[in-house]
Amino acid sequence: MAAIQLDGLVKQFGDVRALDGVDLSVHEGEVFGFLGPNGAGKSTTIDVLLDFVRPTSGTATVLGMDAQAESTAIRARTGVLPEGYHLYDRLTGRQHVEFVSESKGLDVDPVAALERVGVADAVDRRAGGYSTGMKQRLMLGMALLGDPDVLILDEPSSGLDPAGVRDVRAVVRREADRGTTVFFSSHILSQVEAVCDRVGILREGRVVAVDTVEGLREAVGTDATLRVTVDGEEPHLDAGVTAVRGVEGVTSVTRDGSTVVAHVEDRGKIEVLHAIEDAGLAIRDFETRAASLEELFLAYAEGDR
Amino acid sequence: MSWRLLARKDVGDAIRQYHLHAAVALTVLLFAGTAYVTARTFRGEPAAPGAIAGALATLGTFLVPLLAVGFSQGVVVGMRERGDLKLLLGLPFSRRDVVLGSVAGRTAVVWASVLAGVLIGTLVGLARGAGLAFDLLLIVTGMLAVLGAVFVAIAVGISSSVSTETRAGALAIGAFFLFVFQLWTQIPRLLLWVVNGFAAPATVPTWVHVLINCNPVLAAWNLLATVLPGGAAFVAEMPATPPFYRALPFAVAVLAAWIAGPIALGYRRFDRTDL
Repeated sequence: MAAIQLDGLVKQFGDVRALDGVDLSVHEGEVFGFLGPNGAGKSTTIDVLLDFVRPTSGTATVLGMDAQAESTAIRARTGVLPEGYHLYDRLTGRQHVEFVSESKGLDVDPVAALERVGVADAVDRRAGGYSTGMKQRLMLGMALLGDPDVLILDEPSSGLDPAGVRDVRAVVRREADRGTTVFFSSHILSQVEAVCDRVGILREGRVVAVDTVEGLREAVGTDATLRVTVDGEEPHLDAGVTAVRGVEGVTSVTRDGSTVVAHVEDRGKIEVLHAIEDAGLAIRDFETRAASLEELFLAYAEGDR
Repeated sequence: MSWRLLARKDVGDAIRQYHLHAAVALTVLLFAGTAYVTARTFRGEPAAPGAIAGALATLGTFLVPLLAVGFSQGVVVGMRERGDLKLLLGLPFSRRDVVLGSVAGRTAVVWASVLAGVLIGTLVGLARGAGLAFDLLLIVTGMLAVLGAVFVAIAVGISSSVSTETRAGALAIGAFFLFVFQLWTQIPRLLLWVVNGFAAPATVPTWVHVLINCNPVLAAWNLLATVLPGGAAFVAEMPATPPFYRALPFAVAVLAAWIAGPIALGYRRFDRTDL
Protein backbone atom coordinates (compact mmCIF):
# COMPACT_ATOMS: atom_id res chain seq x y z
CA MET A 1 0.00 0.00 0.00
CA ALA A 2 1.31 3.38 -0.89
CA ALA A 3 1.65 5.72 2.04
CA ILE A 4 0.38 8.55 -0.13
CA GLN A 5 -1.34 8.13 -3.46
CA LEU A 6 -2.52 10.88 -5.76
CA ASP A 7 -4.45 10.03 -8.91
CA GLY A 8 -5.37 12.60 -11.47
CA LEU A 9 -5.69 15.33 -8.87
CA VAL A 10 -7.19 18.49 -10.30
CA LYS A 11 -7.94 21.69 -8.42
CA GLN A 12 -9.51 24.69 -10.00
CA PHE A 13 -9.75 27.96 -8.10
CA GLY A 14 -12.07 30.05 -10.21
CA ASP A 15 -10.15 30.43 -13.43
CA VAL A 16 -6.82 29.32 -11.99
CA ARG A 17 -5.94 25.69 -12.49
CA ALA A 18 -3.66 25.11 -9.51
CA LEU A 19 -3.39 21.34 -9.98
CA ASP A 20 -3.67 19.92 -13.45
CA GLY A 21 -3.77 16.17 -13.03
CA VAL A 22 -1.22 15.23 -10.37
CA ASP A 23 -0.24 11.57 -10.20
CA LEU A 24 2.07 10.51 -7.43
CA SER A 25 2.85 7.53 -5.28
CA VAL A 26 4.87 7.72 -2.08
CA HIS A 27 6.05 4.41 -0.69
CA GLU A 28 5.82 3.54 2.96
CA GLY A 29 8.92 4.44 4.88
CA GLU A 30 10.46 6.60 2.19
CA VAL A 31 11.49 10.20 2.39
CA PHE A 32 9.92 12.01 -0.51
CA GLY A 33 10.82 15.55 -1.43
CA PHE A 34 8.32 17.60 -3.35
CA LEU A 35 10.01 20.32 -5.35
CA GLY A 36 8.71 23.01 -7.54
CA PRO A 37 8.93 26.70 -8.28
CA ASN A 38 6.68 29.09 -6.36
CA GLY A 39 3.12 28.76 -7.52
CA ALA A 40 3.62 25.27 -8.90
CA GLY A 41 0.94 23.86 -6.61
CA LYS A 42 2.96 22.21 -3.85
CA SER A 43 1.01 23.77 -1.01
CA THR A 44 -2.27 23.11 -2.77
CA THR A 45 -1.36 19.44 -3.05
CA ILE A 46 -0.60 19.28 0.65
CA ASP A 47 -3.80 21.18 1.41
CA VAL A 48 -5.73 18.47 -0.42
CA LEU A 49 -3.99 15.75 1.58
CA LEU A 50 -5.02 17.55 4.75
CA ASP A 51 -8.55 18.22 3.50
CA PHE A 52 -8.09 21.96 3.86
CA VAL A 53 -8.97 22.16 0.21
CA ARG A 54 -11.28 19.85 -1.73
CA PRO A 55 -10.16 18.60 -5.13
CA THR A 56 -12.15 19.48 -8.21
CA SER A 57 -11.59 15.93 -9.42
CA GLY A 58 -9.22 13.04 -8.83
CA THR A 59 -8.41 11.24 -5.62
CA ALA A 60 -5.91 11.47 -2.82
CA THR A 61 -5.32 8.77 -0.25
CA VAL A 62 -3.07 8.60 2.77
CA LEU A 63 -2.36 5.17 4.25
CA GLY A 64 -5.10 3.79 2.08
CA MET A 65 -7.74 6.17 3.44
CA ASP A 66 -9.43 8.78 1.30
CA ALA A 67 -8.10 12.22 2.15
CA GLN A 68 -11.52 13.81 1.96
CA ALA A 69 -13.81 11.13 3.33
CA GLU A 70 -11.60 9.87 6.14
CA SER A 71 -9.62 12.95 6.96
CA THR A 72 -9.99 12.81 10.73
CA ALA A 73 -8.84 9.19 10.82
CA ILE A 74 -5.85 10.11 8.69
CA ARG A 75 -4.89 12.97 10.96
CA ALA A 76 -4.91 10.65 13.95
CA ARG A 77 -1.97 8.84 12.37
CA THR A 78 -0.11 11.67 10.71
CA GLY A 79 1.99 14.56 11.89
CA VAL A 80 1.32 17.75 10.02
CA LEU A 81 3.14 21.02 9.50
CA PRO A 82 1.07 23.15 7.14
CA GLU A 83 1.94 26.57 5.79
CA GLY A 84 0.05 29.62 6.98
CA TYR A 85 -0.60 28.26 10.44
CA HIS A 86 -0.90 30.37 13.55
CA LEU A 87 -0.03 29.28 17.06
CA TYR A 88 -2.05 30.23 20.10
CA ASP A 89 -0.32 33.35 21.37
CA ARG A 90 -1.49 32.96 24.95
CA LEU A 91 -0.62 29.31 25.34
CA THR A 92 2.86 28.21 26.34
CA GLY A 93 4.87 25.63 24.45
CA ARG A 94 3.99 23.15 27.14
CA GLN A 95 0.28 23.86 26.75
CA HIS A 96 0.50 23.43 23.00
CA VAL A 97 2.11 20.03 23.45
CA GLU A 98 -0.46 19.04 26.03
CA PHE A 99 -3.28 20.10 23.75
CA VAL A 100 -1.96 18.02 20.86
CA SER A 101 -1.33 15.06 23.17
CA GLU A 102 -4.84 15.18 24.45
CA SER A 103 -6.31 15.41 20.99
CA LYS A 104 -4.41 12.28 19.94
CA GLY A 105 -4.84 10.40 23.18
CA LEU A 106 -1.15 10.45 24.03
CA ASP A 107 0.83 10.76 27.21
CA VAL A 108 3.79 12.92 26.39
CA ASP A 109 6.43 14.72 28.39
CA PRO A 110 6.32 18.26 27.01
CA VAL A 111 9.93 19.02 27.86
CA ALA A 112 11.23 15.92 26.12
CA ALA A 113 9.04 16.67 23.12
CA LEU A 114 10.41 20.18 22.83
CA GLU A 115 13.96 19.01 23.35
CA ARG A 116 13.68 17.02 20.14
CA VAL A 117 13.27 20.29 18.29
CA GLY A 118 15.45 22.51 20.38
CA VAL A 119 12.95 24.78 22.10
CA ALA A 120 12.85 23.11 25.50
CA ASP A 121 14.14 26.19 27.28
CA ALA A 122 11.07 28.13 26.15
CA VAL A 123 8.64 25.48 27.31
CA ASP A 124 6.82 27.75 29.74
CA ARG A 125 6.93 30.89 27.67
CA ARG A 126 3.85 31.96 25.74
CA ALA A 127 4.02 31.10 22.06
CA GLY A 128 3.17 34.68 21.17
CA GLY A 129 6.64 35.60 22.36
CA TYR A 130 8.46 33.01 20.27
CA SER A 131 10.60 34.03 17.33
CA THR A 132 9.67 32.78 13.85
CA GLY A 133 12.23 30.03 14.09
CA MET A 134 11.00 28.92 17.49
CA LYS A 135 7.41 28.83 16.27
CA GLN A 136 8.39 26.63 13.37
CA ARG A 137 10.32 24.34 15.68
CA LEU A 138 7.35 24.10 18.03
CA MET A 139 5.03 23.23 15.15
CA LEU A 140 7.46 20.58 14.01
CA GLY A 141 7.70 19.24 17.54
CA MET A 142 3.91 19.03 17.68
CA ALA A 143 3.85 17.17 14.38
CA LEU A 144 6.26 14.57 15.76
CA LEU A 145 4.20 13.74 18.83
CA GLY A 146 3.03 10.18 19.12
CA ASP A 147 5.42 8.88 16.48
CA PRO A 148 3.05 9.21 13.52
CA ASP A 149 3.18 6.85 10.55
CA VAL A 150 3.36 9.69 8.07
CA LEU A 151 4.79 13.17 8.32
CA ILE A 152 3.42 15.77 5.95
CA LEU A 153 5.51 18.91 6.06
CA ASP A 154 5.02 22.04 3.98
CA GLU A 155 8.32 23.91 3.74
CA PRO A 156 9.58 22.67 7.10
CA SER A 157 12.71 24.81 6.95
CA SER A 158 10.98 28.09 6.34
CA GLY A 159 11.84 30.68 8.95
CA LEU A 160 14.82 28.71 10.19
CA ASP A 161 18.46 29.72 10.27
CA PRO A 162 21.10 27.31 8.90
CA ALA A 163 21.35 25.54 12.24
CA GLY A 164 17.59 25.08 12.17
CA VAL A 165 17.70 23.77 8.63
CA ARG A 166 20.31 21.26 9.67
CA ASP A 167 18.18 20.24 12.65
CA VAL A 168 15.16 19.64 10.43
CA ARG A 169 17.31 17.45 8.24
CA ALA A 170 18.39 15.47 11.30
CA VAL A 171 14.81 15.13 12.48
CA VAL A 172 13.65 13.89 9.09
CA ARG A 173 16.48 11.38 8.91
CA ARG A 174 15.78 10.15 12.40
CA GLU A 175 12.08 9.72 11.67
CA ALA A 176 12.85 7.93 8.43
CA ASP A 177 15.12 5.54 10.30
CA ARG A 178 12.16 4.67 12.47
CA GLY A 179 10.15 3.79 9.43
CA THR A 180 8.08 6.95 9.24
CA THR A 181 7.09 8.03 5.76
CA VAL A 182 8.10 11.64 5.27
CA PHE A 183 6.53 13.78 2.57
CA PHE A 184 7.72 17.34 2.45
CA SER A 185 7.76 20.22 0.06
CA SER A 186 10.70 22.52 -0.23
CA HIS A 187 12.66 24.74 -2.45
CA ILE A 188 15.84 24.46 -0.41
CA LEU A 189 17.43 22.05 -2.81
CA SER A 190 20.53 21.16 -0.88
CA GLN A 191 18.34 20.00 1.95
CA VAL A 192 16.21 17.88 -0.32
CA GLU A 193 19.30 16.39 -1.87
CA ALA A 194 20.69 15.46 1.52
CA VAL A 195 17.74 13.51 2.90
CA CYS A 196 15.41 12.37 0.16
CA ASP A 197 15.10 8.88 -1.17
CA ARG A 198 13.10 10.21 -4.08
CA VAL A 199 12.23 13.59 -5.40
CA GLY A 200 9.19 14.74 -7.34
CA ILE A 201 9.20 17.94 -9.33
CA LEU A 202 5.99 19.85 -9.79
CA ARG A 203 5.59 22.48 -12.44
CA GLU A 204 2.37 24.38 -13.17
CA GLY A 205 0.23 21.83 -11.41
CA ARG A 206 1.77 18.75 -12.99
CA VAL A 207 4.42 16.30 -11.92
CA VAL A 208 7.17 16.57 -14.50
CA ALA A 209 9.65 14.18 -12.94
CA VAL A 210 9.84 11.64 -10.13
CA ASP A 211 13.10 9.80 -9.41
CA THR A 212 16.00 9.51 -7.05
CA VAL A 213 18.37 12.47 -7.17
CA GLU A 214 20.88 10.34 -9.05
CA GLY A 215 18.24 9.20 -11.47
CA LEU A 216 17.21 12.75 -12.20
CA ARG A 217 20.81 13.71 -12.78
CA GLU A 218 21.29 10.92 -15.24
CA ALA A 219 18.09 11.74 -17.03
CA VAL A 220 18.94 15.37 -17.44
CA GLY A 221 22.50 14.55 -18.32
CA THR A 222 23.83 17.82 -17.07
CA ASP A 223 27.49 18.20 -17.52
CA ALA A 224 30.08 18.41 -14.85
CA THR A 225 32.63 21.14 -14.98
CA LEU A 226 36.26 20.13 -14.86
CA ARG A 227 38.90 22.73 -14.11
CA VAL A 228 42.45 21.52 -14.71
CA THR A 229 45.41 23.71 -13.78
CA VAL A 230 48.45 22.81 -15.82
CA ASP A 231 52.14 23.56 -16.26
CA GLY A 232 53.06 24.42 -19.78
CA GLU A 233 54.00 26.88 -22.50
CA GLU A 234 51.56 28.70 -24.74
CA PRO A 235 51.61 26.47 -27.82
CA HIS A 236 51.30 23.42 -25.62
CA LEU A 237 48.35 24.94 -23.84
CA ASP A 238 46.54 25.52 -27.11
CA ALA A 239 47.32 21.98 -28.18
CA GLY A 240 45.92 20.82 -24.88
CA VAL A 241 42.66 22.66 -25.45
CA THR A 242 42.34 21.20 -28.92
CA ALA A 243 43.01 17.74 -27.59
CA VAL A 244 40.36 18.06 -24.93
CA ARG A 245 37.88 19.30 -27.49
CA GLY A 246 38.33 16.03 -29.26
CA VAL A 247 37.37 13.94 -26.26
CA GLU A 248 34.00 12.26 -26.48
CA GLY A 249 31.40 13.81 -24.23
CA VAL A 250 33.02 17.21 -24.03
CA THR A 251 30.58 19.96 -24.85
CA SER A 252 32.85 22.95 -24.45
CA VAL A 253 36.43 23.85 -23.58
CA THR A 254 37.89 27.17 -22.66
CA ARG A 255 41.12 28.35 -21.21
CA ASP A 256 41.52 30.57 -18.21
CA GLY A 257 45.20 31.43 -18.03
CA SER A 258 46.82 28.13 -17.33
CA THR A 259 43.57 26.47 -16.37
CA VAL A 260 41.63 24.42 -18.84
CA VAL A 261 37.91 24.54 -18.20
CA ALA A 262 35.91 21.75 -19.77
CA HIS A 263 32.23 20.95 -19.65
CA VAL A 264 32.01 17.23 -19.90
CA GLU A 265 29.72 14.36 -19.01
CA ASP A 266 30.74 12.56 -15.85
CA ARG A 267 32.21 9.54 -17.61
CA GLY A 268 34.40 11.67 -19.81
CA LYS A 269 36.35 13.29 -17.02
CA ILE A 270 39.23 10.80 -16.92
CA GLU A 271 39.59 11.00 -20.70
CA VAL A 272 39.97 14.74 -20.45
CA LEU A 273 42.82 14.33 -17.98
CA HIS A 274 44.50 11.80 -20.24
CA ALA A 275 44.13 14.10 -23.24
CA ILE A 276 45.79 16.92 -21.40
CA GLU A 277 48.72 14.75 -20.32
CA ASP A 278 49.11 13.33 -23.82
CA ALA A 279 49.38 16.88 -25.10
CA GLY A 280 52.50 17.25 -23.01
CA LEU A 281 51.08 19.25 -20.17
CA ALA A 282 51.75 18.41 -16.56
CA ILE A 283 48.67 18.49 -14.38
CA ARG A 284 49.21 20.53 -11.28
CA ASP A 285 45.70 20.50 -9.89
CA PHE A 286 42.18 19.75 -10.91
CA GLU A 287 38.73 20.35 -9.61
CA THR A 288 35.38 18.81 -10.49
CA ARG A 289 32.08 20.39 -9.91
CA ALA A 290 29.11 18.11 -10.40
CA ALA A 291 25.95 19.56 -11.79
CA SER A 292 24.17 20.87 -8.76
CA LEU A 293 20.60 20.02 -8.02
CA GLU A 294 20.00 23.70 -8.60
CA GLU A 295 20.84 23.40 -12.29
CA LEU A 296 18.89 20.20 -12.51
CA PHE A 297 15.86 21.78 -10.95
CA LEU A 298 16.03 24.80 -13.17
CA ALA A 299 16.32 22.55 -16.19
CA TYR A 300 13.06 20.89 -15.21
CA ALA A 301 11.36 23.92 -13.81
CA GLU A 302 12.06 26.10 -16.76
CA GLY A 303 10.74 23.50 -19.09
CA ASP A 304 13.87 22.45 -20.84
CA ARG A 305 12.64 18.91 -20.51
CA MET B 1 -15.53 13.13 21.94
CA SER B 2 -13.19 15.67 20.42
CA TRP B 3 -15.70 18.48 20.45
CA ARG B 4 -15.65 18.42 24.23
CA LEU B 5 -11.93 19.04 24.20
CA LEU B 6 -12.48 22.00 21.89
CA ALA B 7 -15.28 23.31 24.07
CA ARG B 8 -12.99 23.18 27.08
CA LYS B 9 -10.29 24.93 25.13
CA ASP B 10 -12.77 27.59 24.02
CA VAL B 11 -13.76 28.31 27.62
CA GLY B 12 -10.09 28.39 28.53
CA ASP B 13 -9.50 30.91 25.74
CA ALA B 14 -12.38 33.03 27.01
CA ILE B 15 -10.77 33.08 30.41
CA ARG B 16 -7.27 33.76 29.11
CA GLN B 17 -8.48 36.61 26.94
CA TYR B 18 -10.59 37.94 29.80
CA HIS B 19 -13.74 37.63 27.71
CA LEU B 20 -15.39 35.68 30.48
CA HIS B 21 -14.46 38.30 33.00
CA ALA B 22 -15.83 41.06 30.81
CA ALA B 23 -19.09 39.23 30.11
CA VAL B 24 -19.66 38.41 33.77
CA ALA B 25 -18.74 41.90 34.91
CA LEU B 26 -21.08 43.52 32.41
CA THR B 27 -23.98 41.25 33.24
CA VAL B 28 -23.48 41.51 36.97
CA LEU B 29 -23.26 45.28 36.82
CA LEU B 30 -26.40 45.71 34.76
CA PHE B 31 -28.45 43.08 36.55
CA ALA B 32 -27.40 44.32 39.97
CA GLY B 33 -28.12 47.88 38.95
CA THR B 34 -31.55 46.95 37.67
CA ALA B 35 -32.32 44.98 40.81
CA TYR B 36 -31.20 47.87 42.95
CA VAL B 37 -33.42 50.32 41.15
CA THR B 38 -36.40 47.98 40.97
CA ALA B 39 -36.17 46.88 44.59
CA ARG B 40 -38.03 49.85 45.87
CA THR B 41 -40.93 51.66 44.31
CA PHE B 42 -41.14 55.39 43.77
CA ARG B 43 -42.25 55.92 47.27
CA GLY B 44 -39.47 53.86 48.76
CA GLU B 45 -41.59 50.86 49.59
CA PRO B 46 -40.23 47.43 48.88
CA ALA B 47 -41.35 46.27 45.48
CA ALA B 48 -43.81 43.48 44.98
CA PRO B 49 -42.46 40.00 44.43
CA GLY B 50 -41.95 39.46 40.77
CA ALA B 51 -40.94 43.03 40.04
CA ILE B 52 -37.25 42.22 40.03
CA ALA B 53 -37.79 39.05 38.05
CA GLY B 54 -39.72 41.08 35.50
CA ALA B 55 -37.10 43.80 35.29
CA LEU B 56 -34.31 41.27 34.84
CA ALA B 57 -36.30 39.49 32.17
CA THR B 58 -36.81 42.70 30.23
CA LEU B 59 -33.17 43.69 30.52
CA GLY B 60 -32.04 40.15 29.82
CA THR B 61 -33.91 39.76 26.56
CA PHE B 62 -31.86 42.66 25.28
CA LEU B 63 -28.55 42.04 27.00
CA VAL B 64 -28.19 38.28 26.68
CA PRO B 65 -28.56 38.18 22.87
CA LEU B 66 -26.14 41.13 22.65
CA LEU B 67 -23.58 39.33 24.77
CA ALA B 68 -24.07 36.03 23.00
CA VAL B 69 -23.71 37.52 19.55
CA GLY B 70 -20.92 39.86 20.55
CA PHE B 71 -18.73 37.13 21.96
CA SER B 72 -19.55 34.41 19.47
CA GLN B 73 -19.65 36.00 16.04
CA GLY B 74 -15.89 35.96 15.62
CA VAL B 75 -15.08 32.56 16.98
CA VAL B 76 -14.79 30.37 13.87
CA VAL B 77 -14.07 33.03 11.29
CA GLY B 78 -11.35 34.42 13.57
CA MET B 79 -9.69 31.02 13.63
CA ARG B 80 -9.87 30.94 9.86
CA GLU B 81 -8.43 34.39 9.27
CA ARG B 82 -5.60 34.02 11.77
CA GLY B 83 -4.57 30.51 10.78
CA ASP B 84 -5.54 28.80 14.05
CA LEU B 85 -7.88 26.66 12.02
CA LYS B 86 -4.97 25.16 10.10
CA LEU B 87 -3.36 24.18 13.36
CA LEU B 88 -6.61 22.68 14.64
CA LEU B 89 -7.52 20.86 11.46
CA GLY B 90 -4.03 19.42 11.22
CA LEU B 91 -4.97 17.51 14.35
CA PRO B 92 -7.68 14.83 14.48
CA PHE B 93 -10.54 17.32 14.86
CA SER B 94 -13.31 17.43 12.32
CA ARG B 95 -15.03 20.61 11.19
CA ARG B 96 -18.04 19.35 13.06
CA ASP B 97 -15.97 19.27 16.26
CA VAL B 98 -14.94 22.85 15.65
CA VAL B 99 -18.51 24.09 15.25
CA LEU B 100 -20.00 22.10 18.12
CA GLY B 101 -17.08 22.83 20.40
CA SER B 102 -17.41 26.55 19.73
CA VAL B 103 -21.15 26.52 20.37
CA ALA B 104 -20.69 24.62 23.63
CA GLY B 105 -17.83 26.81 24.80
CA ARG B 106 -19.51 30.12 24.08
CA THR B 107 -22.83 28.95 25.55
CA ALA B 108 -20.97 28.07 28.74
CA VAL B 109 -19.58 31.60 28.90
CA VAL B 110 -23.01 33.16 28.32
CA TRP B 111 -24.65 30.90 30.89
CA ALA B 112 -21.99 31.72 33.45
CA SER B 113 -22.72 35.41 32.93
CA VAL B 114 -26.48 34.93 33.21
CA LEU B 115 -26.14 32.90 36.39
CA ALA B 116 -23.76 35.37 37.94
CA GLY B 117 -26.00 38.28 36.96
CA VAL B 118 -29.17 36.76 38.35
CA LEU B 119 -27.42 35.62 41.52
CA ILE B 120 -25.95 39.01 42.32
CA GLY B 121 -29.14 40.73 41.24
CA THR B 122 -31.09 38.55 43.66
CA LEU B 123 -28.70 39.32 46.49
CA VAL B 124 -28.94 43.02 45.80
CA GLY B 125 -32.71 42.80 45.75
CA LEU B 126 -32.73 40.94 49.05
CA ALA B 127 -30.41 43.49 50.56
CA ARG B 128 -32.76 46.22 49.53
CA GLY B 129 -35.60 44.43 51.19
CA ALA B 130 -37.63 43.61 48.13
CA GLY B 131 -39.98 40.70 48.11
CA LEU B 132 -38.56 38.03 45.89
CA ALA B 133 -40.36 35.34 44.00
CA PHE B 134 -37.66 32.71 43.65
CA ASP B 135 -39.71 30.53 41.38
CA LEU B 136 -40.15 33.42 38.97
CA LEU B 137 -36.45 34.20 39.09
CA LEU B 138 -35.62 30.59 38.34
CA ILE B 139 -37.92 30.52 35.35
CA VAL B 140 -36.56 33.80 34.05
CA THR B 141 -33.02 32.46 34.39
CA GLY B 142 -34.04 29.42 32.38
CA MET B 143 -35.60 31.55 29.67
CA LEU B 144 -32.49 33.74 29.42
CA ALA B 145 -30.29 30.66 29.26
CA VAL B 146 -32.30 29.33 26.34
CA LEU B 147 -32.19 32.70 24.61
CA GLY B 148 -28.46 32.81 25.15
CA ALA B 149 -28.03 29.41 23.56
CA VAL B 150 -30.14 30.50 20.59
CA PHE B 151 -28.05 33.57 19.89
CA VAL B 152 -24.78 31.72 20.37
CA ALA B 153 -26.02 29.21 17.81
CA ILE B 154 -26.99 31.96 15.37
CA ALA B 155 -23.68 33.75 15.82
CA VAL B 156 -21.56 30.59 15.49
CA GLY B 157 -23.61 29.58 12.46
CA ILE B 158 -22.77 32.93 10.89
CA SER B 159 -19.14 32.66 11.95
CA SER B 160 -18.79 29.25 10.35
CA SER B 161 -20.26 30.21 7.03
CA VAL B 162 -18.33 33.33 6.11
CA SER B 163 -14.67 33.89 5.36
CA THR B 164 -13.95 37.31 6.82
CA GLU B 165 -14.47 38.75 10.27
CA THR B 166 -15.92 41.87 8.71
CA ARG B 167 -18.68 39.92 7.05
CA ALA B 168 -19.37 37.96 10.22
CA GLY B 169 -19.63 41.15 12.20
CA ALA B 170 -22.01 42.73 9.72
CA LEU B 171 -24.29 39.71 9.63
CA ALA B 172 -24.21 39.44 13.41
CA ILE B 173 -25.28 43.04 13.84
CA GLY B 174 -27.97 42.44 11.25
CA ALA B 175 -29.24 39.40 13.11
CA PHE B 176 -29.29 41.30 16.37
CA PHE B 177 -31.31 44.14 14.93
CA LEU B 178 -33.59 41.74 13.13
CA PHE B 179 -34.56 39.80 16.21
CA VAL B 180 -34.08 42.08 19.16
CA PHE B 181 -35.23 45.31 17.67
CA GLN B 182 -38.35 43.80 16.29
CA LEU B 183 -37.47 44.26 12.66
CA TRP B 184 -38.65 40.73 12.36
CA THR B 185 -42.12 41.83 13.25
CA GLN B 186 -42.26 44.35 10.45
CA ILE B 187 -41.33 42.00 7.64
CA PRO B 188 -44.45 39.82 7.66
CA ARG B 189 -46.58 42.92 8.02
CA LEU B 190 -44.82 44.46 5.04
CA LEU B 191 -45.29 41.25 3.10
CA LEU B 192 -48.96 41.29 3.96
CA TRP B 193 -49.27 44.85 2.83
CA VAL B 194 -47.66 44.02 -0.50
CA VAL B 195 -49.65 40.84 -0.98
CA ASN B 196 -52.83 42.68 -0.19
CA GLY B 197 -52.28 45.05 -3.03
CA PHE B 198 -50.35 47.68 -1.13
CA ALA B 199 -53.09 48.27 1.39
CA ALA B 200 -53.68 47.21 4.94
CA PRO B 201 -56.35 44.52 5.14
CA ALA B 202 -59.22 44.58 7.60
CA THR B 203 -58.04 41.61 9.59
CA VAL B 204 -54.56 40.21 9.99
CA PRO B 205 -54.43 36.65 8.65
CA THR B 206 -53.02 33.87 10.78
CA TRP B 207 -49.88 33.33 8.71
CA VAL B 208 -48.68 36.81 9.60
CA HIS B 209 -49.04 36.06 13.31
CA VAL B 210 -47.31 32.73 12.83
CA LEU B 211 -44.36 34.35 11.10
CA ILE B 212 -44.10 37.08 13.69
CA ASN B 213 -44.00 34.54 16.49
CA CYS B 214 -41.16 32.73 14.82
CA ASN B 215 -38.87 35.41 16.19
CA PRO B 216 -36.87 33.61 18.89
CA VAL B 217 -37.08 36.57 21.25
CA LEU B 218 -40.86 36.61 20.96
CA ALA B 219 -40.94 32.84 21.32
CA ALA B 220 -38.93 33.17 24.52
CA TRP B 221 -41.48 35.62 25.90
CA ASN B 222 -44.30 33.28 24.86
CA LEU B 223 -42.50 30.47 26.64
CA LEU B 224 -42.19 32.60 29.75
CA ALA B 225 -45.82 33.61 29.64
CA THR B 226 -47.11 30.06 29.46
CA VAL B 227 -44.72 28.62 32.04
CA LEU B 228 -45.07 31.28 34.68
CA PRO B 229 -47.63 30.67 37.38
CA GLY B 230 -50.63 32.87 36.96
CA GLY B 231 -50.38 36.45 38.10
CA ALA B 232 -46.94 37.28 36.81
CA ALA B 233 -47.64 40.90 36.16
CA PHE B 234 -44.72 41.64 33.91
CA VAL B 235 -45.75 39.35 31.13
CA ALA B 236 -48.40 40.22 28.65
CA GLU B 237 -51.62 38.56 29.59
CA MET B 238 -51.92 35.16 27.96
CA PRO B 239 -55.53 34.16 27.20
CA ALA B 240 -56.74 30.92 28.77
CA THR B 241 -56.48 29.15 25.44
CA PRO B 242 -53.81 30.97 23.52
CA PRO B 243 -53.62 30.71 19.73
CA PHE B 244 -51.29 27.88 18.73
CA TYR B 245 -48.55 30.22 17.66
CA ARG B 246 -48.32 31.61 21.15
CA ALA B 247 -48.62 28.31 22.95
CA LEU B 248 -45.85 26.35 24.58
CA PRO B 249 -45.23 23.64 21.97
CA PHE B 250 -44.85 26.16 19.15
CA ALA B 251 -42.56 28.36 21.23
CA VAL B 252 -40.38 25.41 22.19
CA ALA B 253 -40.24 24.27 18.56
CA VAL B 254 -39.24 27.73 17.37
CA LEU B 255 -36.46 28.01 19.93
CA ALA B 256 -35.19 24.50 19.21
CA ALA B 257 -35.20 25.29 15.49
CA TRP B 258 -33.24 28.48 16.04
CA ILE B 259 -30.59 26.51 17.91
CA ALA B 260 -30.34 23.52 15.58
CA GLY B 261 -30.94 25.34 12.30
CA PRO B 262 -28.12 27.92 12.31
CA ILE B 263 -25.66 25.33 13.60
CA ALA B 264 -26.62 22.84 10.90
CA LEU B 265 -26.56 25.43 8.11
CA GLY B 266 -23.36 27.03 9.34
CA TYR B 267 -21.65 23.67 9.60
CA ARG B 268 -22.82 22.61 6.16
CA ARG B 269 -21.38 25.70 4.57
CA PHE B 270 -18.20 25.35 6.61
CA ASP B 271 -17.81 21.74 5.60
CA ARG B 272 -18.17 22.52 1.91
CA THR B 273 -15.70 25.34 1.62
CA ASP B 274 -11.97 25.32 1.25
CA LEU B 275 -9.99 26.89 4.04
